[in-house]
Amino acid sequence: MKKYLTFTVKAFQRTLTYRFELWMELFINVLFMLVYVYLWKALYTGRTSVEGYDLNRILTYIVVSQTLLTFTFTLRITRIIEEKVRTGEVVTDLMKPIDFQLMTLATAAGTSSHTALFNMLPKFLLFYGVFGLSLPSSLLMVFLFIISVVLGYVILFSIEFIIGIFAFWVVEIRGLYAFVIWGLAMLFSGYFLPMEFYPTFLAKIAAVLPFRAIIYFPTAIYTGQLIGERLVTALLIQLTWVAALVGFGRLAYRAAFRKLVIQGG
Amino acid sequence: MPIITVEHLSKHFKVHKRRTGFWGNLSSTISRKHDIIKAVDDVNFSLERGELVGYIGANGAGKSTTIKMLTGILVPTSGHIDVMGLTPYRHRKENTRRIGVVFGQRTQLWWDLPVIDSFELLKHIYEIPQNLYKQNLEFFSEMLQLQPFLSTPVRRLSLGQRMRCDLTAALLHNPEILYLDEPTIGLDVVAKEQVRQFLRQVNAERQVTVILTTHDLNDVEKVCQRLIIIDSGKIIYDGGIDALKKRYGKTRMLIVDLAQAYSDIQLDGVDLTRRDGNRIWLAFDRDTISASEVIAQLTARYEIQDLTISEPEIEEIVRRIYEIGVY
Repeated sequence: MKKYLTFTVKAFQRTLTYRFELWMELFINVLFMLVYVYLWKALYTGRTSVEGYDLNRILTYIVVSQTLLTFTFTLRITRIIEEKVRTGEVVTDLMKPIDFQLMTLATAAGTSSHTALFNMLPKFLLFYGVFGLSLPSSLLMVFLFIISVVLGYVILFSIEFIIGIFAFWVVEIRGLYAFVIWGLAMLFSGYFLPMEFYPTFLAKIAAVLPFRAIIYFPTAIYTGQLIGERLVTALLIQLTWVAALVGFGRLAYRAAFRKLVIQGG
Repeated sequence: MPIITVEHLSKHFKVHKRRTGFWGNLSSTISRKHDIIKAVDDVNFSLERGELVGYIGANGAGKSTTIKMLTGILVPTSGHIDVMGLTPYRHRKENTRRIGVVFGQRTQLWWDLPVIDSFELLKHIYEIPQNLYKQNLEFFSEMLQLQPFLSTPVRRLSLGQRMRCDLTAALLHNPEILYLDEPTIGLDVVAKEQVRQFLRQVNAERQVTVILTTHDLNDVEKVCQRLIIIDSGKIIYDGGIDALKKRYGKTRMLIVDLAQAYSDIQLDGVDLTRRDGNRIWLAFDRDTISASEVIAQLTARYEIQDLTISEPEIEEIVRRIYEIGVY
């Protein structure tokens, strides 16, 4: 286990190398978040509450979900795997006594911890202070929120990992990536609006897909939309998706490896 | 007990055949035909512990395919491989713990981390005990003079520096076998010499078995005791370098500048292999005729301005083997 932790630490340090990129990302994120916040403020003029969301709660929802979205566009797992396969670098990974999936996850966790600490947290605190947002109702809720964020993160990771593994079979996977991550995930993760605002048929589709477990569940736990039995169900759904997607990623990777060792690189 | 035994090893690849033209395209989409390429074809050899072997062949001869099967990332179509008592593709992880691999074309170091960080990662990956790690790092840093750039990110290293780091990375965990795939590619003369000397020393002092593939036959001549030549998937020579020279190096070449372009040149026991104006190339077998006899014949019949005798270089021998096969 310790060897994977080293990957996390090194990936965390490596992220420091790309300071300019980080500042650019942060700057653009903040602009987008400002636009969303003012959009919702404008939409709420003359209204007090929609679907159980008052202005403060909707702003909190938007800021938290936008902050969590940062993981989606900083993860780059698909790109990294695709590049490793294309350049043949994946072979050097396979020549080491190490588990490829765990190594990739450990590396991603390092990069993302850095993002959480130096991009997401400051961004969130800025909006929290300026717009007077709320905190979760109790320390337990903070704890459950963090658990839910981590589970959502592993789901996002696994989806990207599986898409990346497709690179062993098809040369071009950017289309698939765009479709899943920028199409399906954007639409069904609940980052545009809370799931409560979705028309019934879209909500039904969202319910059978893993994407709402990435952003909507943790955000709704934070804002207090999901409590009691529904909160427990949400966490259980997340756990189920984690198990299913990590397991499927493993099978996909095994199949890819089998293809590699039989057909060559 | 050999450390590596390879018996009747073959690897065949299926390559899809594309037909041309409209109907060809259409039928290709419906039913694909394929050719079988025999990348490695019934190869046999064995290596003793501590041997230093050059594994050479033209591009596409099957060198890398063999190395990939030995390292366990390619499953043979048929045949048997035994590496330290393991079947590499079945015991891939265990096998990787006991081997080191260096690819000249790509690095196993982390591109944007300082060199020392890559070494530390490897320490954890291979679970190298701290004292052994320190000892090895000191040993290799001194031998390859890594100290000045240990904290430089890998992407800023020169090719020569990177190769020295890659060699260290492959040896930190005390592997029993070291596979090198074109380790001197793109290096300048000084760096090449450094790598060669290092390999000799590591082999001698640490008893590491080394398999080296290369296109630079100077590597082989200066580093290896034994040479395996593979061509179109088959081994065409396996033996000592001196034996190769003795066997194929019997032919000597006499290059003669004649005073004038004689139209008809007749000499006994000598092959006229090439002529260019007044210059002629004469090949002869040193066991059947001596150089002085050839020169005596020449001077008796023709007027000579200058002449030189050349012993065949290993490069020349191998080139001829590639071209015309074993003779």
